Amino acid sequence: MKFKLLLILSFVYGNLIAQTDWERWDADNSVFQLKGIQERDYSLDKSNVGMMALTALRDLYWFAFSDLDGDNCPFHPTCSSFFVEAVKKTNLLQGLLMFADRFTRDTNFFKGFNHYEIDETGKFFDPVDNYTLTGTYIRKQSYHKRKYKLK
Amino acid sequence: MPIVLLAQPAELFQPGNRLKFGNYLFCSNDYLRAIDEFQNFLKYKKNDTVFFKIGLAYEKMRKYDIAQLYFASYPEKNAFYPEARLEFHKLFFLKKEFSALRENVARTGKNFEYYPEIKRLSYISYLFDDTDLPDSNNFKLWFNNSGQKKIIRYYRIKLNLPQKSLTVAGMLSAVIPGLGKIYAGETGDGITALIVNGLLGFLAYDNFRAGHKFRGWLFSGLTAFFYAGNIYGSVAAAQIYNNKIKTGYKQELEMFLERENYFLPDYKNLCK
Amino acid sequence: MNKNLIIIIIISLTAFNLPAQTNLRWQAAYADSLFASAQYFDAITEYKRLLFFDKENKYSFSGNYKIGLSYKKGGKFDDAIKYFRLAEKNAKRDSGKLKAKFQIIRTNILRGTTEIALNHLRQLAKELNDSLSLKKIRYWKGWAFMFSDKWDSAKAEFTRINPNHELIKICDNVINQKYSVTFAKLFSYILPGAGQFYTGHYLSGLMSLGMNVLWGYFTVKAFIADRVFDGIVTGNLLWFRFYRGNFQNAEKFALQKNIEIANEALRKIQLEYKGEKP
Repeated sequence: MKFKLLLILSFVYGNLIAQTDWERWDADNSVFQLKGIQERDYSLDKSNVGMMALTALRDLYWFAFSDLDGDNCPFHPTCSSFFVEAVKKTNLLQGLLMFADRFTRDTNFFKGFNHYEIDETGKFFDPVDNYTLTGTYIRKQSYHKRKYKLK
Repeated sequence: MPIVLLAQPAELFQPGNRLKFGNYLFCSNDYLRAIDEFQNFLKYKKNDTVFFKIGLAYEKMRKYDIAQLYFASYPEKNAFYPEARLEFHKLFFLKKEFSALRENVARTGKNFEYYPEIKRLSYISYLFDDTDLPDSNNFKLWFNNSGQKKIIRYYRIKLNLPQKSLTVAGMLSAVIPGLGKIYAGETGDGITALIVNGLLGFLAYDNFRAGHKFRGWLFSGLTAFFYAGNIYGSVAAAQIYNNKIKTGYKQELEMFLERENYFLPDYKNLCK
Repeated sequence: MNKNLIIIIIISLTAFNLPAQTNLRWQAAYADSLFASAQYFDAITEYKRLLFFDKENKYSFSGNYKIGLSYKKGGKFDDAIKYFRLAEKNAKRDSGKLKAKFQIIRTNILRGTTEIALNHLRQLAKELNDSLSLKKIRYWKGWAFMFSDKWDSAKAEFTRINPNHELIKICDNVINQKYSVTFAKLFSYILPGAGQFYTGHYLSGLMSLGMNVLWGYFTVKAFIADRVFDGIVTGNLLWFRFYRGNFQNAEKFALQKNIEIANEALRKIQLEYKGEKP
C-alpha cells in the first residue's frame, strides 16, 4: 500500500516538473505576501431573483449566526454554501432534498468513519457535484500535490 | 523583431544544429521548445521523422487534438504512414473517445501493419466504458501470453465490479429510513437518518396527542422533509459508492496501461 | 531609448570583435539580451542551446545559473532551485558555488519554504567564518524570518549586521503595530465582544455581546424558574456556542490583522527598499 502511494506521488511529482515549460509563461510580478485567512464571500448571486433572494438569506444567516458561533462545520463546503450551490446547480426542490441529506449526514456523530476525503484545512471534502445524480464524481486530489519533499 | 533577425546568421541556428538541439530537447521532455526547433528545421528541409516527432511531442504534452491532426495528415505512401495511423488511433484512446476509436478500428483493413495493436486498443477501451463487455475469448485472441493474463485479470475485475443499485437504495430508504444508506455502505449515516426520522416523527405524534396542532404539523413537515431527503441521499450514496469503485478501477487500469505502454511498440530508438 | 537597440549594439560588439569561441560568446550575449528584456522563457531556450553546444563546459556554471534566475523571475521556484543546484555542482570556483547556494536560499525564501532557507543558512554559518559572509548570512536570515512572520527574530539579525540598518525600522513598525492574539482572546473571555473591539471589529463585537447577553439571560432565567432541562439545553446549545464563537472570533481577527500588517510591510519593502531582495 505504502509503495503504491509512493508510486502515485512520484508520478504526480515527475509530471509537475515536466509540465512547467509545456506552456509559455511570462515574468511573475506578484508581490511578497503571506497567506491570510480566507474570508467569506458575501456577494449576492444576481443571475436571477430566486438566487438573489437565496444568497441574501444566506448572508443574513452568516451575519446573524454563523459568523458569531464559531467554526462548527466539519464540511467543505459548509452546509449553507452547499445548499446555495445545490439550488444553483439543480433546482429549489432538488436543492432542498440535497440539503436535508447533508444536514442528516452532519448530525452523524461518527462521520469521521465515513469515507470522506480530507482537504487542506482538515475539513471533510464533500462537493455538491457528487450529489446532483448526474454521475459526476469529483475527488480531492490536489491535496496530495504538494506532499513531495522539497529541497 | 530585430533580435531574432540578428540571431539567424549564427552557426548555432543553422538547420542541422537546430535539429540536433531539438532532438536533445525532445529527449529531455522539453517538448514545447523542441517543437519550435523542429518547425524551424522543417522550413529548410522536409523530414518525415521530424514531422512525426512534432506529433509525438504534442501527444506527450497532452495536446491530443493537435497531435491527432499531425498524424492524420500523413499520406498513405509515406514511410511513416503505419506509425502515424497507429498514433492516430491511440489518440482516440487517450482522448477517451472510445466509440470513435472502435468505429475507426472497424473501418481499418486487416492488412494494416499495426492491425493487432489497434484491435487490442479497441478491446481495452471496453474496460473503460459502461457498455457491455465483449466475450473474453476476443481479448485472448489479440494478446500474447503474458499480456493475456494481465488483461484478463482486469476484465474479470470489471465484470465483478461491486455495484449498488440506485433503485434498491431508494426503495430501502422509503421502507425504513436509513436502510438504503446502510445498503450503500454508509452505516453511520443510515443509523443517524433512522434516529432523526424517528425522533421527528415521534415529536409530531406526541404533539398531536397533546393537542398542540401547530407543533404537530411543524414536526410532520420536518419529518416529511428529512424522509424525502434521506431517500434522495440514499440514491446519491449508492451512486457515489459506484463511482468511487469505478474511478479507483479506472485509475489502476490507466496506470497499468501506461506501464505496459498500451501494449504498443515504443519509439525508444528516437532517443538513443 | 529603445531597449532592443542597446541590446543589438551589445550583441554586435561581442559578435564581431572576438575571433575565438565566437559562436558561444555570441549565443551567451544573445541569451543575456533576452534575459535583460524580461523574456525569460525564451532566455531559457537560448541558455539551454548555449549549454548544449558548449562541449568544453565553459558555460556550465553561468548557463545553469542564468536558467535558474530566469525560472525564479517567472515564479517557477522548484525549477529554479533545480538549476541553481546544477550551477552549484558545475561551479569551478568556490565563489560560484557560494553564489548558487545563496540563490537557493533566496528562492526558498520567495517560495515560502523559509525553514529550508534557514537550515541552509545555519549550515553555511558553520562552514564560513569571514565577516563578509557572516553578514550576508545574517542578512538573508533576517529576510527568511520576515517571510515567516517572525519580525522579532528578523530585527535581531539586522541589528547584528548594523544597529542602524534600514530594515530595523520596518521590523519595529510591524512589531509595534501588531495585535496581541492572547490579549484579544483573553479580553473576549472576560467580556464577550471586547477582543473584537480591540481589533477594530466593532459590529461583530456588538453582535457577539448581544448574543451572549440574550442567551445568557434565557439560560439563567430557566435555571431560576427551576426549568433545569431548558437551562441545560439553552446553555449548552446556544450560550456556550456563542461564547466559544466569541473568543474564537477575537483570536481570528487578531491573527488576520497581524497578517495584514505584515503584508503591508512586505509590500512596502518590495516597492521602496533599495537594498538586495530575495
